[in-house]
Amino acid sequence: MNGSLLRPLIRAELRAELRAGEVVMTTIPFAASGLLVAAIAIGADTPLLRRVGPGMLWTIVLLFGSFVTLRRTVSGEPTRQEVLTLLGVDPVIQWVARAASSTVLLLGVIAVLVPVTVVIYDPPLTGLAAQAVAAVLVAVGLGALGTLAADLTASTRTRSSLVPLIVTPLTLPLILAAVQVQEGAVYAASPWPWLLLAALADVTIVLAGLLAARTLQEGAV
Amino acid sequence: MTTSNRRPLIDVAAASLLLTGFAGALLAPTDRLQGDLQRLMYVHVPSAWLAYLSFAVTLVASVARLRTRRDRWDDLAVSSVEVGVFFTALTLATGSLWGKPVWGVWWTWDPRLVTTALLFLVYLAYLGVRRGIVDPDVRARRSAILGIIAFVQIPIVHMSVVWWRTLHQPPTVLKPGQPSMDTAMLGVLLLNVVAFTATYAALVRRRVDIARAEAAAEDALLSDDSPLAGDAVTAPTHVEVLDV
Repeated sequence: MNGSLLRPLIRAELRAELRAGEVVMTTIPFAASGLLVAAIAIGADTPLLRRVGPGMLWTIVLLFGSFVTLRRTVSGEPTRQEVLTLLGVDPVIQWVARAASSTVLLLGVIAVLVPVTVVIYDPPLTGLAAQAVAAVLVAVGLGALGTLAADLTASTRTRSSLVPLIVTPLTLPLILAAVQVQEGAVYAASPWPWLLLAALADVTIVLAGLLAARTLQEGAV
Repeated sequence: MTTSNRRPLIDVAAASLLLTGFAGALLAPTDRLQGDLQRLMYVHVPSAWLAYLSFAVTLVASVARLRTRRDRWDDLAVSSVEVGVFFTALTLATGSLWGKPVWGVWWTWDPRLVTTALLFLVYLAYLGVRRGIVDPDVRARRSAILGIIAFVQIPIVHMSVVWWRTLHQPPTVLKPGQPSMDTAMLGVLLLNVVAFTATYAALVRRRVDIARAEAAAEDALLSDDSPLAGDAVTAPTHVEVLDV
């Protein structure tokens, strides 16, 4: 496994996304509108909005996060993956690069959606450091699992619906941890058990991705 | 006795055990608090056990498929998932029917309910992934990986009633120490577990046969030397073209 290739590969993934602008121009506005519509559906009950705001944020991140890992610059260009394989780039390195770029983009999505949630739902802003750690853990887990699910469903016609179907149930520990860290901060409870749960889920998902990368790409070219 | 001769034997055994289990469920003592409603347990608990067993078999078959590359393991894995999905759905349905009169709702935010529903969804996705892939080898490889990853949920589902505060009762049979249940009820429950397991074996056996028949038909289609539709049309020769 040649680790020196990792950085240029991640940079290439991010540059391709920057040019296409799919996440910035489509996914983020769509996710923000989801937060807005949910608030309208709940109504003008300010205490209720305050209480459900963080849960709503993580639900939207989870649902729209799958689309970040399915973005056209990754799923729409299998030839690039084939070229990299023919060039002898280790499938594990390719998988890590795709998962890492998805994680970076997901962090970007979360960074935009948090202020939107604060404006619309006005949740209590306590325990921000623990919540930031939880956000990073969610992004890592969601990025890795989304990439793994995208590989599992590569070149299937129902991919866009299968990936969220795989990702949504399996990310339950991450979402649960993120919501509980926020709720715990309100009641001055320790965030560590939940952060540990999210970290454990991340390690499991990343390990599964690393172990499956070669098998998944076997015979792909 | 050949394998094909044994099949009706398994079917008959499963049917007889199911009938005995059903009779046992009707004759078992009535619960002091819940009355006849509690008899749902004789379907609900064996279904849940079968869901665990099915997905454990899929896990073993998936690991074996990745290690040996033999298609028979893939046939077993998918057959077990299909039967497991049915029993998971049955667990959810009977749980919901039981929950309405006891808890007052069909569905509630309860860790056991939610994790079981998520388990059901992931294995539905497993079947969805298989349906979308044409190449048998790629299909077997990818679904083996998903079959392994998805199994992570089983311990979470089982332990959810211990780890979180929940409406669902904690384990009464699969727990350290003596089962906390009336002996007659426990006997009928175990009889039904055996009956459901025999039914699972019969169903998986049938489904594996179908999977093998499908694979054979697929192979025959790909390697068949019979004429193709286009063979009826021949390209005109050079002379024929010039004549026109």
